[in-house]
Amino acid sequence: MQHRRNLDGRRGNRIRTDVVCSNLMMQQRSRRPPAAMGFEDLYRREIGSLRTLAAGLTGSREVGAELAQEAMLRAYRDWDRVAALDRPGAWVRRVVINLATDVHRRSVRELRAVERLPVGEAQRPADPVDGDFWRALRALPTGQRNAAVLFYVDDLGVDQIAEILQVGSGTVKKALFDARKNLARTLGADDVEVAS
Amino acid sequence: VSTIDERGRAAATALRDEMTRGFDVEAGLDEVLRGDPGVREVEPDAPRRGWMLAAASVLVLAVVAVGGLALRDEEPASDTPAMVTPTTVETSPATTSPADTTIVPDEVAETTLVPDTAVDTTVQVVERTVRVADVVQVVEPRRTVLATAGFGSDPGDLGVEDCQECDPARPWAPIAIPFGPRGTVLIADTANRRWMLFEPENPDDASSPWSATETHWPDGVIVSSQPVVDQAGTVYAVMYGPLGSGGTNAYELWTLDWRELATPAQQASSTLDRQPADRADPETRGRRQCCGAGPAPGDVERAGCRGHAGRPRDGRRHCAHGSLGAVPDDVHL
Repeated sequence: MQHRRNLDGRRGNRIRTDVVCSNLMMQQRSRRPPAAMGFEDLYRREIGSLRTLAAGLTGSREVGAELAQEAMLRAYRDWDRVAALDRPGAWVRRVVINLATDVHRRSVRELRAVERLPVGEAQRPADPVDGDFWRALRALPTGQRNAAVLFYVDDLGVDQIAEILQVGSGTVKKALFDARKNLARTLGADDVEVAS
Repeated sequence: VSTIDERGRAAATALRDEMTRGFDVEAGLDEVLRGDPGVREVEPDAPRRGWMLAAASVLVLAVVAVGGLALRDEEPASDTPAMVTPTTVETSPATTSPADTTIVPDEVAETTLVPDTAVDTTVQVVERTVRVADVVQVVEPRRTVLATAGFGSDPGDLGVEDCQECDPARPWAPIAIPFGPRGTVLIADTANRRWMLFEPENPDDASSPWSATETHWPDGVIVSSQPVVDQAGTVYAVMYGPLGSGGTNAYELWTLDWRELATPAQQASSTLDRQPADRADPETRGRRQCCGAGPAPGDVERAGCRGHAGRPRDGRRHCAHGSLGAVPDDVHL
């Protein structure tokens, strides 16, 4: 019998023991279709990370929350296929990263177009994710940005990042190295020590 | 561990706290399980639909009322049908609906709303039943099916990528090329990396069926926006793929003669923000594109996901890409 492994390599479905379901919640769950039950665990386990990933990548809390919800909606609609994967969590992360890449690309072009207009300040995204680190991260090229956000937000290893991004481990190592170097340069090299 | 790593993890922890604080996981889960569109769903706007229904109802009632006024006149009954005969307005198939295809001539209102007061000021009420079907004419949309294409990658098919992890590729809208006795229709079948040129098999015979000839473009290249054609028959298409220096991804504007689609007449590197495309937008580099050669004909790969240029599975929805969205069955041209 082949056991499913989670992203962290542990066998079997991870069960959260810190969630105590109230009677009301149990009644709600009992009305849901059986197919949704595995999805519920995935949602509760991953939604926090997905929202953080998407917000960090897009620079907007609102958009990040929408993208995370959209990724989960896609997973639910295609749950038969997603549930059969070894790591559904990796699949939804890949969806979030693809969606965020599209949003980021579009927003960069829109911002450039707005900046060319002879009117005041360029519009900024609603509820922006500020902070030097996130601004510097969003300025990285796509590959470095995606690898770095998975590394920092989810604390994933090189192999796990490579699986999500569908690239080789060497590519991830190079992307992380370049990302650190670029972040150090952007954030000020004086107070930053870059590990090799 | 570098200082950068420490700062990154601290920033991520802070952002995670912000993104999870106050977020009701169960409510979010319920939203997904209910299929609540929430984002990126293209559904008819319910309030707008309501307004349209209300407007249609008012229009029908107005037609019935005017018809009733017309019938109230003391003219012989045999003239009545001629007076309320509706005038049909030809509309395009996309906008035709029973409510907006019928109008009543103005003279009906003029002859019935102004009675001859000098003769008789008494309003004669004539009770007569008017059936809506007698005064409202339903016009079937006029269309001619030139050719029918199935989903897939076989000759004559149009590819629709079946992919949930990315925006699926689908054919761009047909463009009409004004040459030949009956014209020509060109479709960029981007999922199958080919031009599909639909022409009548016998241009001189009006009943001749239309058939497609296909012309492939290079693997790994997609048509990234709706192609257009000018009156000289020159097709303009923005292509995207490994077209930049050193095989980097870049945009190119191709101009093609519609008779020689295999070889672009011109390939001009397009520019974004006044810079060469392959350097202007680093976000586009390194991102795998759809239409790479798959392990089997019709398979496409992109960004780690694999789709198939074939019929979408039941219940599967597609994002908009081109104008053939939400095609329920075979594509009619």
